[in-house]
Parts: sequence; structure tokens; C-alpha cells
Amino acid sequence: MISISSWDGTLSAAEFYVAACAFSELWKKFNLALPQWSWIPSSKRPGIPFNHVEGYLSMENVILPSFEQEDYQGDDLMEKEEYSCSNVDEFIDDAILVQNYCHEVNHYDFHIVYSTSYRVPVLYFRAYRSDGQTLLSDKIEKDIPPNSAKLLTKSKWTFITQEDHPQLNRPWYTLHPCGTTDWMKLLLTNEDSVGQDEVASEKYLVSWFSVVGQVFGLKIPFEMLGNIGTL
Amino acid sequence: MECWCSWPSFTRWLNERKHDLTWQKMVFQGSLVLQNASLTSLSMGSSYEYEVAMTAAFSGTHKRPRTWNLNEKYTDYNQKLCAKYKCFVQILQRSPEYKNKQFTKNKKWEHVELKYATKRQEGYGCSMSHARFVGDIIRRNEWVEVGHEIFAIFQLPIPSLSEPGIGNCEVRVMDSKGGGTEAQKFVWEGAIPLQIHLHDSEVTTLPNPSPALILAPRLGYLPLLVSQIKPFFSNSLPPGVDSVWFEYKGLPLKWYIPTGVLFDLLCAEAERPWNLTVHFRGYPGNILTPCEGEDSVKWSFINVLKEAAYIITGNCKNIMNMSQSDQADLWHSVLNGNMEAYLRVSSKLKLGIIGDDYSLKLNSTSKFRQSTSDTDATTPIRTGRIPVRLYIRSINEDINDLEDAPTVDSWDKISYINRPVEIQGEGKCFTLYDAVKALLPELFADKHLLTDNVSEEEAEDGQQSEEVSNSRSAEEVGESLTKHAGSSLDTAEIKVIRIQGIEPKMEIPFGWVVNNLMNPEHYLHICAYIKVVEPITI
Repeated sequence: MISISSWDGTLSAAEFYVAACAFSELWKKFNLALPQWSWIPSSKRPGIPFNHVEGYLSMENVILPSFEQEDYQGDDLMEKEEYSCSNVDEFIDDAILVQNYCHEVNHYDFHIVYSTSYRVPVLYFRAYRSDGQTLLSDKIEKDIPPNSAKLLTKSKWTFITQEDHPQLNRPWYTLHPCGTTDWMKLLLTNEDSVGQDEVASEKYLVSWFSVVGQVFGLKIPFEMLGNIGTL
Repeated sequence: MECWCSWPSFTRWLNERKHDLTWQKMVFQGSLVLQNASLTSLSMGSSYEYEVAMTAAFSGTHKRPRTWNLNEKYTDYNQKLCAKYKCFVQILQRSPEYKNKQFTKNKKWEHVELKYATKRQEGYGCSMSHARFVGDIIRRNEWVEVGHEIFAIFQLPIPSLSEPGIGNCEVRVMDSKGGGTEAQKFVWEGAIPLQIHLHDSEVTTLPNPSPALILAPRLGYLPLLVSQIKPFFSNSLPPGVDSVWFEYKGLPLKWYIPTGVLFDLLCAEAERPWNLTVHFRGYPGNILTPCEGEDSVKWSFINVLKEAAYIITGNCKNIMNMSQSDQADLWHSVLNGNMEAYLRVSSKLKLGIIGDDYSLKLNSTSKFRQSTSDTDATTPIRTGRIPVRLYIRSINEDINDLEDAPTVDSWDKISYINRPVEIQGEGKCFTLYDAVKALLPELFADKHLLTDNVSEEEAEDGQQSEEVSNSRSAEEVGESLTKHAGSSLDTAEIKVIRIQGIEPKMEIPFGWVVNNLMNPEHYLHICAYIKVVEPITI
């Protein structure tokens, strides 16, 4: 539990694990037309004992809601499709998708990794084509909402950067975590549903993702935010 | 009776006496000695030699005086000890009223009195009371910090006979040598001789171009050397656009890791010159993050600095609020390996230094009063966290000589831990050993018993001076690292801990290690070689 009055917007590694479990449960419950989140424990490091609580959340094989075609609304699109994420190697065949897709579909993998430096979750993502080829930022720009795309080009080094994934040791894109605590504090201290003087760690990731997901046009239903405690 | 001594002796003298005596007052007197400049031409950014005389006066009768280090015995407590301290004054800014006024030639500083404000546990604060300017009293302004640097803001009157108005001139009093300990100089001057070969696949001329021999600063980054290297090979390169990357024995090198760290980590036994291969084509984008030259390195540096600042102060504000010129100065000081310039700019960031072995408290800005012009209302919370990056190379075989260690052919063989270390143990000396243990607790599992016993004993001896308990615990747990770590856990043993190319003794206070051996982005990079013995499975 985090006490609201003196809260600085951060959470501990243990709280992150709690938040991650709660988040993925809630995600599953709401059955959004998006793949499930799964917890991936940190891989065994040579010489260092294995700790199952250290790890990250992974949602793979996501297709972002479209912004270019005006024929559909994003929500309808998501409801028509069902994804299973049990096998991450399975790529979705273009033919199964909604019929009017005339351009190449890009796939996104999202990982939420805890940062011990910033003490907040950090989003890592990568984009690839159906044939597995990695996408560069100019292609990613086309998939994300216009505002995010603008930010991407304007603050090249400070908003979305490419860094080594802390667990997988490969270049991934990441949203810079500086500033997370500021808006998390705002979010969670303004919530009406917070009756008492405490904020459940469980709420953290849901609120966090409600902001971060918007970069990619992924909106989570409002009910999800108010639903902690009904788990 | 007054006696003059050097600044370091004086601070040591003060430190030893702060518990014994009641401070009555401490007065700093200084006179500004201008060299080759008159006050009419006090220009921004320039430095002037400044002599400060510090006088400490005290009273108190409840304790007997100890023998002073300076071989002077004082029977009467109302004595003074003065230190003469030469330092530089740097003019930082001036107010608009000051700009167009001129001082008459014979005006000069008479003396400046700094009154001791309040005694704080962390250090001595001092504030400017006033400054004299040949008879005109100058109003007091704010104090900022004391220590290696004393910040004082003076107000100069605008010399006008009828109306002695007030002008502003911020004057920074700095350490005379421009700062920097011997160890820091050693680190900043450290460089690794590189012998760089062009990859065979990119050689289009005969005979093969000879390798480039250059000296790479430890604290620098490989991509910054490209402009020096390219001339050696430009004739041989195939047509196309350059995307430079380096490789050591088949391993593409991560360009954002400082050169010295790469060398310490990948060369088990120092190889001089260090033979690297350079590529100008075929960037391995699946292994290395993109690098577009100096800009990429600069932004990576700044992002890491932000992370360090966040760890130390709880936010990135001081980095985000850096002026463009400060940011440029900081980067250029790193680019050019200019330690003095770096210390000058980075001190403005107020990321502080770790306290010495007597007071292991972080000197962050929370300790010092903000000047009134600072609109930031929140005081950063002192977290006591220190940015550390630990690179672990595990050696599976039982080898006696590091030289025989197998080459690293993939970054998957290196474990990388980017986790802050929290200094713990009030009053006890937190050593390098303690820090490594905090990062890799599993490797020291059985040692908990031993250290718990030690700390219990120390708690009982509450009255003992810190020096004694420090050396005792250090001796007990700071012996050969391998002996202790090895005896505790069957599966792993730390063979070597390497920082800035040296293998420091584990009982050295961690604060010293950080202050002296950290990189310019305020991270301490530690390379560790761990021997892993695979457990026998039935």
C-alpha cells in the first residue's frame, strides 16, 4: 500500500510485482480485443541465483488500432478480432483481419519493465512486419496517433529512444521515464475512488497504462480504472 | 595568538574540534586581489585571485583541550586559528544597475566578512554579512555552500557620491587548484592505447592499410574517436555511407559504455595496445542500438546523467534546467577530457559528494539553503542512493590466471546490473565490500552471520570513536575477497573487482571510491569477474 499524502509517485520492486499481477488480471477480466499480458521472470544470470519476483510484463503481437482509415472507429475494429497470445511465435495472417485493410499490418511487442533507478515502470516496445523484419522509427511513426508522431520527431532523444532492453539485451524502443512520477502523482491523488489516505499498488499500472497506452492509441476502458478492489 | 596554516590542515583541525567546543564565532576574512584587472573591468566568466583568511574563534570550558595537530598548545580557549586560503573568484553575473557604471581606479576591496550562520551537522554554512568597499558597507546577500567551494554573493555599491545604490555581482570563491583530487586527475588522464584494424571485408586496396594507433581516454566513448581514425582508412573503404562500429574478437562493442569500462571488462588481462577492429559498413542493428556520431553519444551521456541525478536527488530538474551554455560546456569538458572545466560546470548541478569516512552522508542540495532567487519550493529528499553499474563476467572454468579466461563472444555472457547502492550503517564505515555485497547479496549469503556479530559488538561499544570501529570491521570483513566470498557459497566466488583499471582494496570506504573513481555522468562502473562452479546435479 502506498500512502497518498507523502507519495512521490514511485513504487518499489515488490509493489511493481503486485501491480503487474493485478494489471494482467484486470486486463484478462475486461477481455479487451488485445493479447494478454504475461509475467516473464528474469532469465537466469550466470553466477546469480534465480529470483522469480524479478521480471517484466509482456504483451506481444499487438496490432495497433488504425488511425488512417476513417471508415471504422478504432473500438469496432478491436471488438471484431480476438487474439490469443499463448504462442508468441504465431503471426496473424493478414487475411483473417477486417477486410478493408489495404496496407501492411505491423506488429508490436510491449514489455513493462521496472526501473530500479527511476523506481517506476518503463515501457519497452518493438515493431516488426508480418515477416518478422524489424521496423524503423519512420514506419512506427505511421502507426501511432499524430500527436505522438509529432513528439517522436521533435524530441528525438528524450521521448522515445532506442536502448538495450535491460533483460533481453537487444535494442528496443523505450519511452523515457523521466516525468512519470509527476503525472502518476497527479493521476492517483486526484482519483475519486481513493477514499482513504492510501493508494493500492494494484492501481498503479492501470493508471500508468491509461496514459502510456495513449501514445499508441491504446485506450483502456474507464471502468477498468474504477475496478480495483473488485478483483 | 594567531597562527597560519594551510586550508586542509585547518579543515581537519575544525573537524576534530567540533564535538569538543562550543563555537562562538567563525569569521572569514578575505581580500580580493585583482590581477591585471581593475574593478571597472570585472568581466563575466573571468577569474580573479582572491585571498581568504578564515579565523575560527571559540569558547567553551567543559572539556580539556586536546593537543592540537599544529603543535601549538592553547591554554586559553579564546584563541584564534587562522588559515590563509588562496582561491579564485569567478564573476558570474551582474545586475543591470551595475552594468554601465564605472568604478574609480583606486577603489578596491578592503575586506569581506563572512559570519558563521548556524552550525550544521553536515558542514559549515557561512553567509556573507557584508563586504567593505573602501568604507562603503555592502549589503549582505545569500550564502550557498561551503566545502571545496565557497559560494558567496556580494553586492557592490554603485559608486556614486550622492547615492550609494546597490549593485549585484555574484562572485564564486573556488578552490585554488580548480578542484580535483589526485585520484580524480589520475582517472581523467587515464587512457588506453588502441590499435585499430579495418575489417578485412572493407579493405578494397592493396596493401592492407596499417592499423591506426590512438590513445582513447578512459572516460570517453569509442564513436568519438572516429574522426581521428577515419583518415587512416578512408582510402580503403568501399563506396557507401558510413555507419561506424567497433568490435573486439568478434564481439560488437556497445558504444554507450565508456571505453575504460569496456577495456576493464573484456580484457581479462590488460592488453596494450588493445587490438580492436573497426567497421564502416554493415551496422549490426539487431545487437547494437543505432549511433549517429557525436550527437548520439552526447544524448546518451545526458540521459545517463539524468538517471544518475534522479537517483541522487529524486528528480531530473537540475539537469533539465541546465542552461544551453552549461550543457555545452559540460559536454565539451567530457569530449576534451578537461577535468577542471568539468568540475566547474558539474558543481553547479549540486549532485554533491559522498561524505568522508567520518560522516557518510550525502551532501545533496537539501542540506543547503536555496538562494532566494531559486523558485523551486521543494527540497529534494535525501535518498542516500548512489548510481552504480555493475558488469559481471562469469568464468565457468577453474582457471588460475585471468589471462586464460575465455573471450566474451556475446553480450549474453555478461550480466549487467544497473542498480543504485544505498549507503547504510550510520556511524560505521561503509566500504566497497559492503557495496558489492549490497548488489550481489546472494554471493555473500553466509557472510550475514559474521557481519551481524561484528555490528552487535560495535553497538555495545557505542562510546568508541568511529575510527577504531571502522578499522576493526574493515579488517574483519575486508580481507581477501575471494577467501570470504568463496568460503560462503559453493557456487560462486568473486575473483576480481576492477574500477577504472585498478583493483581497489575492498576495505576502502565506498564514499572515497565513488567520489574519486566515478565517471563524468556520475555513475560508478564496476567490473567483476566471478568464478561460477556449476553445482553437481544428481
